Amino acid sequence: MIIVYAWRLVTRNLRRTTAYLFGLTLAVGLFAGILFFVDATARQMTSTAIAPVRLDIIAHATKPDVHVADTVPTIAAQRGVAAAEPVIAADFAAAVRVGGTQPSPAGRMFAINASYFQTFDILQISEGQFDPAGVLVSEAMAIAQHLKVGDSLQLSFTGIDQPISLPVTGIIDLTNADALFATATEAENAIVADVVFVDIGWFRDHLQTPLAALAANPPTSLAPGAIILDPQVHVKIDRTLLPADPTLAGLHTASLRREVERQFPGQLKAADNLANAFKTAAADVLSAKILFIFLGLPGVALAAYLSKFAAELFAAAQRREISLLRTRGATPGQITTIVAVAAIILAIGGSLLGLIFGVVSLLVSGGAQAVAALNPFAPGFDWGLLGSSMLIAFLAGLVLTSFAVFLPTYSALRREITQERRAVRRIEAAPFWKRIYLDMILIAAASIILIITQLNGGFKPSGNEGTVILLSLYIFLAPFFAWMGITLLVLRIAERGLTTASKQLATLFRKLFGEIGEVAGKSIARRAARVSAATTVIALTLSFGVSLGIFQQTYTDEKNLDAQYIVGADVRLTPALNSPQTPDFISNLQLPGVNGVTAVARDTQALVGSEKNTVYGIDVPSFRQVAYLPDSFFVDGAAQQTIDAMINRTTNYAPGSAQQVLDALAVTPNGVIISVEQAEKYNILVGDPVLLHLYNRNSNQYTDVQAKAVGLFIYFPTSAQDSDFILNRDFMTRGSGNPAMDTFLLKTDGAAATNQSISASLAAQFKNVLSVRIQNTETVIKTEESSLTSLNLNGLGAMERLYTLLVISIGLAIFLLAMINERQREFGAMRALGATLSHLRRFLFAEAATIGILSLILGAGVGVLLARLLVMLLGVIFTIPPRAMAVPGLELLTLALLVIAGMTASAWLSARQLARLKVVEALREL
Amino acid sequence: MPDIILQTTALRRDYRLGRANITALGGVDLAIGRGEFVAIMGPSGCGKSTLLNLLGGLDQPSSGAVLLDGHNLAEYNEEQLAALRREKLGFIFQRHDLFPVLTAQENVEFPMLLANVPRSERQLRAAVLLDSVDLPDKADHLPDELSSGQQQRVGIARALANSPLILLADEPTGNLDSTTASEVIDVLAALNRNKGLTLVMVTHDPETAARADRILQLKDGHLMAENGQLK
Repeated sequence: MIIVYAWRLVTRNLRRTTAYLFGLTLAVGLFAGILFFVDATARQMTSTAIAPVRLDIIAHATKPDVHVADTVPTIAAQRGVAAAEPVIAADFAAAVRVGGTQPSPAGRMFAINASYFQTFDILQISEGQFDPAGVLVSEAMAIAQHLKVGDSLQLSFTGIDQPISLPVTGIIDLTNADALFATATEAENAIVADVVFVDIGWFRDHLQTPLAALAANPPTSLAPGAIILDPQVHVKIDRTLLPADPTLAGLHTASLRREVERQFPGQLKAADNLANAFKTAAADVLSAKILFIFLGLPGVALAAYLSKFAAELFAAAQRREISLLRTRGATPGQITTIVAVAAIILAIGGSLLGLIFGVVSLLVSGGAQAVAALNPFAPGFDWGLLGSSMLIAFLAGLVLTSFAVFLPTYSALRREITQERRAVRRIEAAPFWKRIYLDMILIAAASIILIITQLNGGFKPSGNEGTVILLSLYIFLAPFFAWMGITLLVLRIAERGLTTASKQLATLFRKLFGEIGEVAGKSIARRAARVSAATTVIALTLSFGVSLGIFQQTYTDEKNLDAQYIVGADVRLTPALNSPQTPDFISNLQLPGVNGVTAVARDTQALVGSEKNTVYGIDVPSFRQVAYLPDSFFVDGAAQQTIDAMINRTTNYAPGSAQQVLDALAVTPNGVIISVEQAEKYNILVGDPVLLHLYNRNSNQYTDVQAKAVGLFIYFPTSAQDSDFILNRDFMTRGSGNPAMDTFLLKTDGAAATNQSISASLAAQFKNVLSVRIQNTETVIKTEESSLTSLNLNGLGAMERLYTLLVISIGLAIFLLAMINERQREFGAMRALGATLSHLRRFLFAEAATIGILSLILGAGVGVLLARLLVMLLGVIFTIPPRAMAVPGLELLTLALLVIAGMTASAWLSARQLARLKVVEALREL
Repeated sequence: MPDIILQTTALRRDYRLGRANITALGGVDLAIGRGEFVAIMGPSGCGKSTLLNLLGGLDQPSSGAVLLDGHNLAEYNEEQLAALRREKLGFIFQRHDLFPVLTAQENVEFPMLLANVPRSERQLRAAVLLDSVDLPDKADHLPDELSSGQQQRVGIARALANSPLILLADEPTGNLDSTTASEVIDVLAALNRNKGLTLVMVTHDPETAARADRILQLKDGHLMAENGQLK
């Protein structure tokens, strides 16, 4: 019976139920939409995180005599494995070009099948081809040994008396092959420069047996570990089957790794190269969840408030129904149960509708990425991820209903029961927040959090490239508290202003809306608390939309700037090491759409003292035209503040400018600009001499050059972490005697399409002519930026704008309808006294305009302030801290126009409702 | 009755309540002379307020006609009726229905504001009217700051704002104690007596009704008696 009564309570008044459900649906919908968006991006984040990993699993044989080729068919047939390749690694003691005199140091031989090149995308043959009867040599080895295709190479192995000679059939680019040097036991890859590749069949026939025998029983004359024979199986997993959630994906690959070991117990020990990437992605997904939920939290809170606001609209009707139940003999306990069951029905309904709204809004605004992520028929679709998000959103709906609908009704019911039924008049007391000065408390809390954060190092990048970014919940509290506090404070002031400006408001409104405007003006001034409640909801919602718009634009700009920083400009072309190019090569790169090119020299072997450092050589005029060089990259090295900061090991450097530092470098031929990190390490101040030992790769010789420190930088384009010293290019090439350039940077109009098109043209131009590596900002965003900084927030932004529009439009409509509902008698009396519909309409529009204009002004102001705080958070995520907010002018203007249109429509609909007012019914005694 | 200002002929008002048809007024013929003070009495639900609403053009009859100063209200649209109420009628409600956000003075000015009376004249007339209901010192008070009787007197002053031909009062003393009720009726009777204002008052209180020139008895939507004489 109770369920029947509760059901009737819900279904009897459809308008009330609709109003309840509206707020709940929006709140749960936005929350669910955000969670689904995170799910949708989780797949993208997982795939971005593992993109740089080119060798998924390496299974090392536990003994040198294991025949890995025999294990490959079984491993390749395993579900989840796309391919497997046998590889044998063996270290040679020395290599020398036949006819040459200078042998190389020890190096490594890899024996592979020809199919390896197709299976794994880590080895690029820059010249020649793979031949079962020949050898491929690494670029570094080719340079060091002056090897060309057609030369013969003599390799010596420890314990084997006779050296082996093989013809060089190709040169190989190992830029992407770091994973080859992974060991079964060490975390770091032990990269070797002198590397050769031979056919695995040839290796079996000529080397495996003697090397295996030596490895099994090494002669006592040799040092332990002198014979290295490491048979391996390289496994490529089927990435389309990976779950979207990185943690689950990590478990999936871990299980594949274990399965490989289980199939060959005691013979293979596998290393999962994806594990770290999944860990990073899992942390990024967690950070993204925290980021998105905090970004969306104000919206959810507003929708819940709107639901409560709507609930208050129908409080009188509900009280009457409860009184009726009491007069029919229902006990307080029974009534409470009925109200609770009704709230549960509403919660379930609102939550289900919210889930549908969340899915629909994401599909509408999230584009192809969202459609793909929510497609249950897609391979690897993760039901668990979707299910958990749905469950969380559903439970959130239940909690919201409890706060927004049940508790207010329940407390009203308790009052009713304790005070007995009597006419309840709305007492316009100051709201709770105002009485406890919540605005001041929140602003103080936000300030304290900001101060603590700044004292702890501020909103700065958390670490180097590849470091897991962990966003703590607490740094989001400052913007959230500030958002609430500033809005409430502004509203307190606005309310005070409205109250005191009663006369002026009446005069203004009389001019705008005729004589009735005067009454409306006085009504607004004397109902300032009520008007401010509606203004609060709408202004907060608008500030939410504005701040997210600015945040999203700044994020997108930052993403591109980070990519530009890594690339150095818009497009970067790097010739293969064995095909060095001089600055004259620039003439080959002047394609249509290229606005500038500069050539950069690089020496990764340079010594400062006895330590290796990377030295760059730039041509200042062309470099400053092409490269991305914001002032924030530089510090004023001569300023005492910088010197103090360097001495005290703080980061409180005096700001510098790109022009100042680059001008100094340009006018000082032997000038050098230095990263503050290195300057601190070597105690170098601007003006100090710096002795550099430059390395000539061609001659294998070091040359000393005396440079003079002329400036300092924090970041330098083209390199995320290894640019230490920057010289003038001519000075560097003259000093080292090596005219070869490392990279060529190209400037375009910056558009993604232009960059892609120019990259494609360059690739086509040099195909089969010259081995080059081409990168642009887009490829870097996809493969080299962290999964947290490469997100596409467009879908989230569109969804939240849709939400902003809905809440503002319908929120105003609810307020205006509530106003009509609450003041039916007033409007009825006005009509009885001779007010025309036009009078009432103008009265309504005056109130709507006040709320609308006030909300627009306050919302925009608070939105910009909040955006400023949110943008500070980006400093934690991106390498380059944001300098300023990026304001999407057109987008915000569109939002403002849509909001105004929505408000006008709401006012117009409310006016129509007012026109239907029956005077007799309005004035009838209850 | 030489000068009839308000007249009804076969005035009928039916309502539908679910499937049932309820007759609130079942064909009332009535004529009220200029300057008359008429009280309409009857038990709850007899149609008193319905009759008053029809007389004031707040509701439309199902059949029959209301003639106000010779004009048939059925020929007026909503906006014309509003203008008519503004210019020729004054309403006093049981719960006074003052606008809570306007002061006593502003409440009285409100009907004049609708009639586009210039501000200075509005203020002057409102002051005079408040004086006439003995509230000259309450002009700047909000309704909540006034007693029930004072509120009702402001309501009377507001009803008189545009110098109406007829004052329609729906239970004007219904929410007042007997002393205050008597004071309010004194004010209304004085207006009728001194200014010749036509007054139609719905009441269920025989003592209040006794102050009127004529008492009409309604029962079940029909006019049953006048001054105690069955019709």
